[in-house]
Amino acid sequence: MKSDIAAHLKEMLELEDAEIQEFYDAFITEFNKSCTELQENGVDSDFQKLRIITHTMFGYCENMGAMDIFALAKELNTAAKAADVPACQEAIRKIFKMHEAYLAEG
Amino acid sequence: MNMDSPFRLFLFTPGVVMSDVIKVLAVDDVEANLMIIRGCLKGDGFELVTCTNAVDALQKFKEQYFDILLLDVIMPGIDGFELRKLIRATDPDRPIIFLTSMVEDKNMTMLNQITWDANTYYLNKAVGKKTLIQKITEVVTTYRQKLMEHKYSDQMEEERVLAGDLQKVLLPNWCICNDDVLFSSIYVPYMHVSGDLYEMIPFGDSKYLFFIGDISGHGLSAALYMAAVQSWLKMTLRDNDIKIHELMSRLNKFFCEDLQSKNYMTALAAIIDFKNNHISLHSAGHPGLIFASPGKKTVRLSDTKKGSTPLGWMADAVFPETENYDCDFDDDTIFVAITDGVLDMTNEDGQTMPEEDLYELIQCQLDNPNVVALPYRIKGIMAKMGYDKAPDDFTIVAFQKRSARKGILERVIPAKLSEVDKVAQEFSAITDDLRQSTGIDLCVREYLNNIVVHGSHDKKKAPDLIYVGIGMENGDLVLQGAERGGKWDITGTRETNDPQLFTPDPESGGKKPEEEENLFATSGRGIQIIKALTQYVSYETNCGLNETKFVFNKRTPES
Repeated sequence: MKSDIAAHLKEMLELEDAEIQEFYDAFITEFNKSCTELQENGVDSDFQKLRIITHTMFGYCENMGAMDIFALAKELNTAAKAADVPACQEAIRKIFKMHEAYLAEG
Repeated sequence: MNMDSPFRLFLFTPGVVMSDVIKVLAVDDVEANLMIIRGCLKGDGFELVTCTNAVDALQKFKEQYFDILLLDVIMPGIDGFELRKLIRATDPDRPIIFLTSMVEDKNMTMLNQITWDANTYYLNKAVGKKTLIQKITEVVTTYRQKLMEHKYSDQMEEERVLAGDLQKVLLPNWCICNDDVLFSSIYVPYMHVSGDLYEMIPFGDSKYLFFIGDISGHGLSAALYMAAVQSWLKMTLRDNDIKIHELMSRLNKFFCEDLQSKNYMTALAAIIDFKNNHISLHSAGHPGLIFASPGKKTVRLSDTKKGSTPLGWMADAVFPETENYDCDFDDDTIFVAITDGVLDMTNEDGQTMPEEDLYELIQCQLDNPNVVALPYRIKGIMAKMGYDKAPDDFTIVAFQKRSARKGILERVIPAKLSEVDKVAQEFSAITDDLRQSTGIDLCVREYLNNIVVHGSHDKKKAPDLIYVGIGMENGDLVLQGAERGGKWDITGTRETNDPQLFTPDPESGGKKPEEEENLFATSGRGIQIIKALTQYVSYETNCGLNETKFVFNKRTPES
């Protein structure tokens, strides 16, 4: 969550507390984008698209230290590779739930 | 270095200054990732430009210099690999680091794709500030070192070429013709600059110092030593009474003490008195001087048992008078001197030519001796025998006393039109027969104008000097020319190394009508005039020397 991201950014980028919020906002913007794309794509249409979305998520989640979302993106990626619709649905549901939790944290 | 290489573009692009600041171009379609890179590289030491797509990145890459590129792999439109391909089309060396997540790359397909290029590196996205800075600094430092090495080697190459050109200026003309001696040389440096040097310096009363030396090594140091030795020789010859062993002894001291040379030099120096046909020579570890006598049809070598150690070995080395080789020589003696590089020429099997074969080769040339062409002919024949691989500088010098060349009027002239007129007038005056005199005048003019005018169109093909001689040979009046310009094709139809013979038939010109037309088209009226004036024209090229021979009064087989 936010505290994990802050700790990661402090450690990896040697950021000051005052700088963290700006990075966190940028992260939330990307996360919003990914969720919108997931919503638009649907769960049973384009598995390739799902893999591209999750690859993007890997990048910024790893960068920001959002390893909980990273894990869910990995779950979705694996399900998309296997063309497993129920598993994809479940992973997306979890991601959306996580998204709500992050938004609630501000 | 390739003139189009990005190194050169970088090094010689105005405004590009290699500074301590590392210029980075980062490309990622996700703004948050670029933000992380910004966070990592903020502060002194880096100048970062970011792009969110490949098209913008390419534009920036064309506009500005960057030390390094940080690329994402998966991007919409042109992806990271495609972008690298587009960059590599013009720049094979600029470092690229792919920043990507390898979660999906279980069978290493992506990693393999990244690393096939020698100047591409990989870092995981969540690499952290320290690692990213460390990697960028390390890669850019290596790249910049490479750039500097290329720049340095480029400068060295330019200086080497300049040194080679200066050496050629310092050496005597390839052909010298004065009252005392006719001198010719071929000089082929192994690597632009050479450790070979030779001199023929007059010092009064038909006396000359002949010097040939071979400084160890081929590089700039050899060239500098050579220049120093040449100027030393000229200064030392102010002392007219110097004996040849004394000269060697002093030169050894100069080499060891004044130059403090780490190189050494083999050398053969001779004081030649052309008035009294006497030579006094001293060899310091150098191949002997070859005496070729066209009259006696013999070739002999100066006494190789006599001589001293090479110059530069020991400052206190003794060069005693007893090791001088003194002898008289016949008027017609042709002297041939070589450097080691001649005998070091190898064939395909790596074998060198036995020394005896060289003497035999020179002996074969005595039937039709031609001092001017001799060094070039020797090299040409050696090449035909298969000895054409040069591991060293190559120098052959040949010279003969001028008075031995009785009945031959010969000149060495600069390739200038103003000189043509002088030579034509002088040569045409050798006969009182007005018809023949006019013929010589026209032929000389046509031949020389051809060489000078055609040569002047292309500086690379322009000859520096032209040797021309006229005299009787086997009862015929013969005009001979030799120059080192572009090949002058007497037939006007082809370029070849093979000897060409042009024997015009009075009716057809010895050519098929279409060839005749071609001939005329190429050489204009010149070839027609020469055809009308001569019975026989031969042309031969040997190692860059063009020999042309015009026979004016050759008897036909019928007559």
